[in-house]
Amino acid sequence: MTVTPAPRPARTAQPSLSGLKLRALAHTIRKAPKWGYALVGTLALLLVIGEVIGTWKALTFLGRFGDIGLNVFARVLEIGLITLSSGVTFSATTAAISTLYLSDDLNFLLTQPIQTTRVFALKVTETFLNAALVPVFLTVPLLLTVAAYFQAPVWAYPVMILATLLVFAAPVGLGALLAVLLMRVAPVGRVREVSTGLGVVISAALVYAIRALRPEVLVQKLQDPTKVEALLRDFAGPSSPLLPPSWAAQGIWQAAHGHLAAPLLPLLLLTVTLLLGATLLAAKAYQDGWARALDSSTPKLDPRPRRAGLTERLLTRLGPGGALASKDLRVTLRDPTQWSQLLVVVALAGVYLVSVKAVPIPVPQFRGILGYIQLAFQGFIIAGIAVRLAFPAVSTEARGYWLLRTAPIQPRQIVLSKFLGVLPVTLTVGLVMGLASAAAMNLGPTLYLLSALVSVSNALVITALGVGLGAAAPKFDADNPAEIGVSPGGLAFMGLSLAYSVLCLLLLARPAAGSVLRPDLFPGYAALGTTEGILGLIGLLLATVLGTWLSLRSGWQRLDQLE
Amino acid sequence: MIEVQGYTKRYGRHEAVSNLSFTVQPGAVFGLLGSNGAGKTTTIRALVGLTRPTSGTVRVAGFDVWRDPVKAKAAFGYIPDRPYLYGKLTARELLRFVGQLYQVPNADTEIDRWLEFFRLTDFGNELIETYSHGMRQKVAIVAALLPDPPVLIVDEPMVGLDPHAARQVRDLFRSHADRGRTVLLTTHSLPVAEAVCDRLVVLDRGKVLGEGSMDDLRARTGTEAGGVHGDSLERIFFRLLEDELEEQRRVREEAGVAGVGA
Repeated sequence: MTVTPAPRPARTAQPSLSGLKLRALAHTIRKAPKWGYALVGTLALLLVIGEVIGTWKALTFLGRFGDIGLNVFARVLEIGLITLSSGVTFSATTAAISTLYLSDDLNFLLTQPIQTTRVFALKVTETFLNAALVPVFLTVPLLLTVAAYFQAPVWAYPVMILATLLVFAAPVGLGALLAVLLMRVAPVGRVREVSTGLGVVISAALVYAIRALRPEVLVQKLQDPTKVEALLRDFAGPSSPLLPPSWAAQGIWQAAHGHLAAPLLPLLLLTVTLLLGATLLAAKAYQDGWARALDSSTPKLDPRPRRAGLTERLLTRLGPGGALASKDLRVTLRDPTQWSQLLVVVALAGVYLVSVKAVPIPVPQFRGILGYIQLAFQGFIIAGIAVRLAFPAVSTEARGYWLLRTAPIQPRQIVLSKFLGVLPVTLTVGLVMGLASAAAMNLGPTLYLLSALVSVSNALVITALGVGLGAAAPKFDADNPAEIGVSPGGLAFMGLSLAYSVLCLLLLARPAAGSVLRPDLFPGYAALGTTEGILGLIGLLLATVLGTWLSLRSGWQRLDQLE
Repeated sequence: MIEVQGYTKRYGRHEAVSNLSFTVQPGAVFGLLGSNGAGKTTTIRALVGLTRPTSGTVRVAGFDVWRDPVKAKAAFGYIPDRPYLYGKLTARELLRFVGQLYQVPNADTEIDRWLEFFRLTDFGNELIETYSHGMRQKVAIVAALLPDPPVLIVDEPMVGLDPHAARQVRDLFRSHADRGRTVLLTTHSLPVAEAVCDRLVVLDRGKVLGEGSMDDLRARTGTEAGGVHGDSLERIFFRLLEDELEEQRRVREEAGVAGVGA
């Protein structure tokens, strides 16, 4: 008997991986809450409008100084691109480790009859979207405004957008390459620690670079009209001609003026090389990295039981909430994605304090008013800390949250434990910033006291708001806490925190103004004894108590309803 | 004791579980049996406070899980099908945390005993993120049993366990019930259900196909004990599914006839 082979089916086209991902994204968008998109859309629109108006006004103002003024804008653009691309380099390594090695869909995709390079090209694209989408979104409206201001030709618009994509794609390629190399050389159990360490070094370098620009010197010189022109001339030349963001800045600037700049070509070549290199190396090195992941998980065994330490014993005396706080403290100190947030906190506060001390303000009244208004900026710094520590506090339970949810502990205890765990950090940083900046600016007794009170109020309410909103909309599947804040809830939290800081200032504005502008009428703490002063203090107390209580309560109520 | 009365769970228009009622008495191992998507895990999630019932009530040890959650949760231990645990804690630290939440007396001694029982003593000080799936499952089982709860609720207990541990766990469930405590487990493993359970509910697409002891189900389906261990429950299970399909076909045909007649 002869067997006739079945006719081979005609070859069909390979399925599109990006099409698959886009379909999944469309499903996610369709199922997500509409209010979240409305909120994000409104905030994004306001941001774009603000950016366009601000850019146009800045160009108009600097245009009065002729070419020198406009070159200053070009230089600021270059510094901005260097700063943003440094930030992308920092986040790209961590994002690349998550997407290139830890994605849930990798095992599925790599066992399908699809070329490995296609899979990793998709993963490098995902890394770009994770690490660089926000900077691209921030940059494009600004550049289009520049193009419109200079009445650039039509071809300049796509060239400028391409330059933007290239300037952020290059650090993504670098980050992805770094991630692949790390997976080859570092033990996998330590890859996150190593990448976090690198991130801290890059951040420190960035902070140093920003401080090295010494913006306060710029302010000092601008106060002297005779030095303005010399300053602008010094400032106008390109600062780092060998850096890729400088090439992009030159390309963008010249495109806006109708010229196609040569530096765009090396930028294009560099970016394509980095992206292709990362994709090919990832495809080649993946198996080795995966094998290392298995090899390096061999533990050192020690059968002797290790009992609870002093901190754990003390905290657990407070009941289930204390036990949770003890667990959180231990996990935070062991997880580099969490403790690295503390370093960012210290860096933020440090840069702020150094900058406040360095700003020269010769007139005492102006110093007093500025000393009071800067409390709103401090609120924003506290919000920057809280969005890293308080807002993700419930979400960092991650997929282990079932353990708490099914245990005899109330959502109220969970939320309060998280709040009391973060409060010491925000309160300490808030008070240190408030009192140190008040001392540095040599403020009077009333403003000194108000700085302390507003700092305490900001710390309490903003921390409660962060924990409460984070509990109301937790994100249990995030790879690291930094990513949790980049959500509709996180953006709403930042907006509300800033609004609260401003509210605090408005409540006590009258006594503060009295003590600064009429020290003869209101010596010492006298301004706080007036009707406005007493009402302001009562208002601050009420706002603090209600803001803290309502934020926490809405948090635990929503957490209780969570399924 | 576990009491489920008229439990229904809907997700939009989809009804995952429809009007389910059953009671599990102390001293019994009760099995929720069914294929994938039958509604077993949805029922378990309602019992442990993870999914709110659309209607009906679920009570554990006399406490409504959704009205008196802390008392109900103090009365049960839960073993999930996927043991997500805090990777940055060691097994001892995690179990100590559980002991603190449930206020377990002499927790350290109990933890040492359980780790020894599952041959995890050497790994007790290692971070859970370095554990295999089976080791994590063992830690999740210890976490549920550490408070010695009156009620044990288990979702797919044998996933990832080696044969030795699987037998240990089966024996544990049996001895837990024999001490007058209640055990509810879901499984789609028919041999496990037949070996451990005193009573069963067979679910399919959110509806009860059959309920009772093995003898009750045999009598209802007209099946006899098979020659191979576990075979008889398999026959009961498929007979119940066939009966359900037959019933659906009959209903469709009647509706079609009625439609033509009209």
